Amino acid sequence: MNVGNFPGASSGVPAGSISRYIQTPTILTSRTIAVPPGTQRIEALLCGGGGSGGNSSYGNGGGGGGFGGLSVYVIPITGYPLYIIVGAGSAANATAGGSTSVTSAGTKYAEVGGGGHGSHIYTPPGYYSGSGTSGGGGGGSVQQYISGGMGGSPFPGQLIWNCYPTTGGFYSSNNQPSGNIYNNGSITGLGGVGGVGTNSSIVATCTNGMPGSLGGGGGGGGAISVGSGPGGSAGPGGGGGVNYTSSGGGIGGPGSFGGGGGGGNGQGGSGGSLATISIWGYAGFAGGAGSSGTPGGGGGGGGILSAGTAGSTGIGGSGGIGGGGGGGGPAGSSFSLGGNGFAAIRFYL
Amino acid sequence: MTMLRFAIVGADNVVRNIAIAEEAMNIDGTWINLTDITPEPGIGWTYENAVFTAPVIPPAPLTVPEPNVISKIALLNRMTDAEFISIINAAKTDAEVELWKTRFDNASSIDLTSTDRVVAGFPMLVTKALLTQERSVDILTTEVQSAERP
Repeated sequence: MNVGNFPGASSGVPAGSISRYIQTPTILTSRTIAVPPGTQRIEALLCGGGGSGGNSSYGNGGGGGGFGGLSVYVIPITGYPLYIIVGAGSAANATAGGSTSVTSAGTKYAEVGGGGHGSHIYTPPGYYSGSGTSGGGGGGSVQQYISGGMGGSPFPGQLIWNCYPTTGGFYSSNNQPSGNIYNNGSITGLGGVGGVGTNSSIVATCTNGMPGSLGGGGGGGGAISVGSGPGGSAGPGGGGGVNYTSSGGGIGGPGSFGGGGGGGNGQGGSGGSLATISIWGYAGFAGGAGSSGTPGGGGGGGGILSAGTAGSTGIGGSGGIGGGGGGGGPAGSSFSLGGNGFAAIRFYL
Repeated sequence: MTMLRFAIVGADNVVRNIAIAEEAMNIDGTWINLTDITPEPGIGWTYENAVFTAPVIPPAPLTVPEPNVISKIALLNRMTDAEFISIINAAKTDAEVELWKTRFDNASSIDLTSTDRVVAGFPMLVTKALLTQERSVDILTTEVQSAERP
């Protein structure tokens, strides 16, 4: 246990007020935790499991998996122990990362994650990009007519901190190269802006990532056929999209904020970095680099506890431990893994 | 520390979560140890009679792109006045150009991605130096805007 000092503890505090806290070690496996006697307030730092990156059976790549999400919730004191469930990173194709939660006295008081999976094949239903859950990021899209997954809405508990940047936005459709961006309403909250689809060539509209609402960002929108430009870049927490090109040479879009990079037959996109995150003694890690091989796997998204692994020729990188999304795989590869989640609890005495 | 993966299955036999734990817990549903289960199931799978099954998601209708059809006046507007005047003048003395212009005049719309004979005649216009190759490609491949459709 790390014993912290609450500001003001040495300068005299009123009777009954909080004077210090006890922080648990990093909780990597699900368990039951007793609440220390005298506890007046409980806070939980929760990180969900990252989504898996998609693979592809067509001439492009799979979208990157979404970040698992990272939030702090206040947990009511119930007189009962805390049941901590630690969400696993997705290890199955086209499935989301697990959620990390705190339950006490039969009520779930907090939940975060997991990240949505990247879409993986061109034909339905595999082209669906997975949406994040409870603040997890959305997965990246595999083609131009399908948006990246939505970021997950927050769990309705006492949310007091969230990792995402305080930027909102509108959902917009994107008609390039004419450059028209159409705002369609749907105001988003913290970090909820959707990813952007790109169009490197002559064909028509591409679809942006969908927004999250006060939580995870949308996944990267799919890019357009013909040409070798990059796939859609992701919103915060989202996985990168894919350049859908039947002629090969497409480049995976970058993931953002822990999201995995998209795969590509020309080059994989980079995993999103969490290096700007610092909380409770944890500092986030960088995402893995996309592979420049042909075909190139996307880099795994950075986690809170470790970096995402780099993509390699034919294989997407794994997400870092602490919620990183898996990198998208290029055509013919297997899917890549999302990083497991974790939890830490502070008891204020 | 042993880190095992468990599927947490709800009362409706659907996998609600995938968790990391050292042993099963009695919370949120039935915990199934996933060790040696291949392929590993994910959230949304069903679990019945000790077998995991992937969900069947109904396909959504594909968004079909609009056909690449342009109106005759819109194709004309893609050419400069000088370009079309040179075609008109050439048609007075060149039967091939006159034939192309007759087809153009009588077309109701032009499909830029098909073997439309107006489109097929563009290489001939380039060969006769009435259009440059670059301009021909530009005219035929620029994205069709809604106002250009018939």
